[in-house]
Amino acid sequence: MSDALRAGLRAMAGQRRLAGVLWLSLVLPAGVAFTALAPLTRLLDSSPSGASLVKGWDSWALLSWHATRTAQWKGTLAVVLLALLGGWLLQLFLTGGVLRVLIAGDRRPVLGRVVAGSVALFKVNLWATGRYLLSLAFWLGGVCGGVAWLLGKVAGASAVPESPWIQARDLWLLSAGPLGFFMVSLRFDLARIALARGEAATARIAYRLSGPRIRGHRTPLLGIALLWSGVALALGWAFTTIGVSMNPGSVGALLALVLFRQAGFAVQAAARVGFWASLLRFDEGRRAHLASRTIRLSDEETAAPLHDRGDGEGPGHATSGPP
Amino acid sequence: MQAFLFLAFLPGSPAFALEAPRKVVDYDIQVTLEPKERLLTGHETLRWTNPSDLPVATLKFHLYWNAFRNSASTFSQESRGHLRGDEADRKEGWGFIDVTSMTWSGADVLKGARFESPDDGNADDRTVLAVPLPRPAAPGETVALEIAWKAKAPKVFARAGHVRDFFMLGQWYPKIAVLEPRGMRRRAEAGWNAHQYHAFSEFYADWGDYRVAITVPEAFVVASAGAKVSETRKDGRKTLVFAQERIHDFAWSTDPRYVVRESRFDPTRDVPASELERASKVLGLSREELMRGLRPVQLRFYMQPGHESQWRRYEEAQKWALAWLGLWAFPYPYAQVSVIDPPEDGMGAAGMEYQTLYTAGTDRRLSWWPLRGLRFQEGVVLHEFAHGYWYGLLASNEFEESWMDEGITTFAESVMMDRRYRYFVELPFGVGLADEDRNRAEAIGRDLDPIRRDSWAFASEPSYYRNSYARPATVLHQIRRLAGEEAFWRAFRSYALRWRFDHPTAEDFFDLFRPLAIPGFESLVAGCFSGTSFVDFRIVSATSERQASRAGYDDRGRLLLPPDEKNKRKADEKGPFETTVVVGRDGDLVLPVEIALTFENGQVSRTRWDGREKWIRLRTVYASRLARAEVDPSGTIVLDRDPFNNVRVLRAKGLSAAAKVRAYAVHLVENLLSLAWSLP
Repeated sequence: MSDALRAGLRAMAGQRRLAGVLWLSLVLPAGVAFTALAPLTRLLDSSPSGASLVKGWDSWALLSWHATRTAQWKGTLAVVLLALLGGWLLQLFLTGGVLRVLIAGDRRPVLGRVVAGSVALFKVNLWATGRYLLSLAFWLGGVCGGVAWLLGKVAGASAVPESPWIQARDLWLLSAGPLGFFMVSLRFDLARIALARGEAATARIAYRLSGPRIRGHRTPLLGIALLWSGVALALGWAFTTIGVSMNPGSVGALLALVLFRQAGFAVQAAARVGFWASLLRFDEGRRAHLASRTIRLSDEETAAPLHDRGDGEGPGHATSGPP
Repeated sequence: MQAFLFLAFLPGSPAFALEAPRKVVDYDIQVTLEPKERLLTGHETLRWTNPSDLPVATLKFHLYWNAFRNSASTFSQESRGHLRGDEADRKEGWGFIDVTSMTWSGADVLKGARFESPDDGNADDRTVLAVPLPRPAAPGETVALEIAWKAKAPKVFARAGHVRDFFMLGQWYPKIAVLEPRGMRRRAEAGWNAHQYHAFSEFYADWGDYRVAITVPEAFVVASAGAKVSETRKDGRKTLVFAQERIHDFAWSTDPRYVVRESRFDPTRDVPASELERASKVLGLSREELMRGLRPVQLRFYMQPGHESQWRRYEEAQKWALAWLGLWAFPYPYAQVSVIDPPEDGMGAAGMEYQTLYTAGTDRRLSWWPLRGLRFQEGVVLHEFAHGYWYGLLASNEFEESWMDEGITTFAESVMMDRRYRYFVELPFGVGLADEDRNRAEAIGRDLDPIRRDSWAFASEPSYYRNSYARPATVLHQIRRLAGEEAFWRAFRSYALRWRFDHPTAEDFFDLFRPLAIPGFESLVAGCFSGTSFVDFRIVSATSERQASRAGYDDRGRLLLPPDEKNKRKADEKGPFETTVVVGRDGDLVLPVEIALTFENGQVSRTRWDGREKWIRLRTVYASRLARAEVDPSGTIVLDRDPFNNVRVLRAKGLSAAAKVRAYAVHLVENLLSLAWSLP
């Protein structure tokens, strides 16, 4: 795990161009949203709350906007939601290219290679995403939600909120929910790594490959994910808190805030690169381990009569790396 | 001058105010609860004194729980089984109350009893019982009735009822209606005021003393509106006797699972010095005068298991409410307050006021971050305890004038909430929503009803809620802004002092404000309380151009030519400038408003407009060009329906609010997207 973390930190500090590409994936939907919001927010300048909004937060500005200009309010929400959706899809799309560049090392042009890699992996990544969403629905909806539903049923309709069954249900939801989400997502990540390495031609094979790599090593994998989550959250919190306290009152100050926030997002993007690099190192370690086991098994099998090997493909072939 | 004299006399308690209520009815009740069967078996000795100057031949009673008797009751039909987000159990959740006997001096008076439906003529409604007497009760005569009854608690969805072993017992006994004598609540003739129990009505009752003996299984913890007098135990049951004077309602609650937490309001410690200072300054009373009468109050919190950690939040809000209402209205006159915390699946009982006791309501998850910033616990305590004043101690008629309780309570709650906590909902990074703003946003919507209307006669449920809660509260804030802090709060306090232990009407409230000659007050009374008027001030047009140089022949007959295009552009940058601004008023509320014209050189010209006409044109010639025209720059008109047309900017200077909001909005987008990077 420490090896993986070192690799991640090295990549976080060294892969600045890659981080820049990820940062651009934030800036693009944000820029579109900024432009689209212009006609929807113009009314704030002709409201009495305009001056107070320049000074800071004004609860009446928000509530009166919602109460009296419903169309603009809904439009603003729609723009924000569409920007979020677009940004998320863009991140999903770019992940394949980012992984390929990380695997190959920092060769220029990074942006072009990320886009080319993403385009090349688009179809298989889409299938993998579909599989991921299904797995998520199964684990969160079926397993996590199903067990919670069963516990609720066992408790009965007239159970008091602090009854052991209800407590167990809440505890289950609080623990199994996030844990299930993390594990399903990590398997998706490892499958995408397998696709990026070219180990698997389809999402199905990639998922099949990622399974054994997680098995028996869930704790270190979860450790890596949690650690990088912590780093990313801490960075986000720090930059947001400082940004909010800047509370610009002039055009210059607003520009300074925008620059500061973008610097923060760039650092967060670097942390994301670090996470992927850590995950790649973990994956490499597991591949090597599984490959050596395969070789050992193959050696043993060579001593055995040829007819015992069936069609000649040892068990390690399915999980071995690309040529 | 008139206003000045009036104000000068306000601080003291007016001579005609009551120090204690006129006692009309006393109850001596014995009741036994069978939790498994949800049955109450009771007997009461009711002593009612005819307060009118006429003989009374028929007595009228409220049997509120018959609202839950079946789907044909008026309550069921109006609510269709839904109220305040809760749903009735329409299979086994029904409840009822049946009077099994009623005697007066040994004579059975129940024989001729009949149910009445004065409001809607619903023959199936059983919530008002008329009982003819064998002989009329003479004016001033006390009628002592012996009444036996049994009642079944409904599954709680509308205030009273049960969930498992939790029982909230409000309006649970045969309760005599109010006989209003001539003059009371401005009545021309004496008569009964007995309405059916409606989905959107609450209660109205007469003052008296209560003594209630409650028998429950020994394991049950009992909370009640009274002070405990005695407790005896026998055969696995216990009987607790409670007594309370000077009330018009006696509610109680029981649950074996209650975790009781106790505290004490100590005025010397719990009244914030800053609030005392503020009240002293605004009300024109010394601190000693304000603190006089504020007494220690025993606080009991009946918490659900799992909610224990939240009792401190209840306690803090409760102490603040006792301090604030004690200063700005009058000192709480009872010795105790009981706060009921209903179970999470019994929230139909939550947020309901009774006297000296009320139900709050919370959820375990509300103590988790970041949900802690949702101040539902504080909000419900401030609101329900404030009811103890406007419904409890100024016993207004909630059937006919719901705003006098709900509206004034919502107003007081918003002042208490925003002053103490700043925001009703507080999110991370300094973002929050103020309680007053929340009400205001609801109040400025379109209305189908006036505020003054029988509570069951509103066009719809949202109309009832808006016109009973948010709209009257916002109108009171409007009156406050127009009157000024001193005048408003002195009149407000005077209203509270004058009408405590009595039954005020809306006109009584208005009459205390009328001498202040508040501009626009009568328009608000007519337009909001009795009508559906609104107001929307707006900048219709604003121009500021260089004063045109004269063209044509001058007095000496010389021909003056206008400057050519090139020179005109240069000349346009020099003054003087003729500025014309037209401000309009939509809606029928006539309120005074200020108009501010800000010029490019930073000078601000302020004009006060009485708002009587539909529009006003301001014209000025000044050395600088107009940069910004604004109507109501200080935000006095809180009822302004559309604040987004109040400003016209001709020359923007400095940072634009829209640009700042857009920048924050895209930062939010980027934050959320980068949050996804925090996850695998």
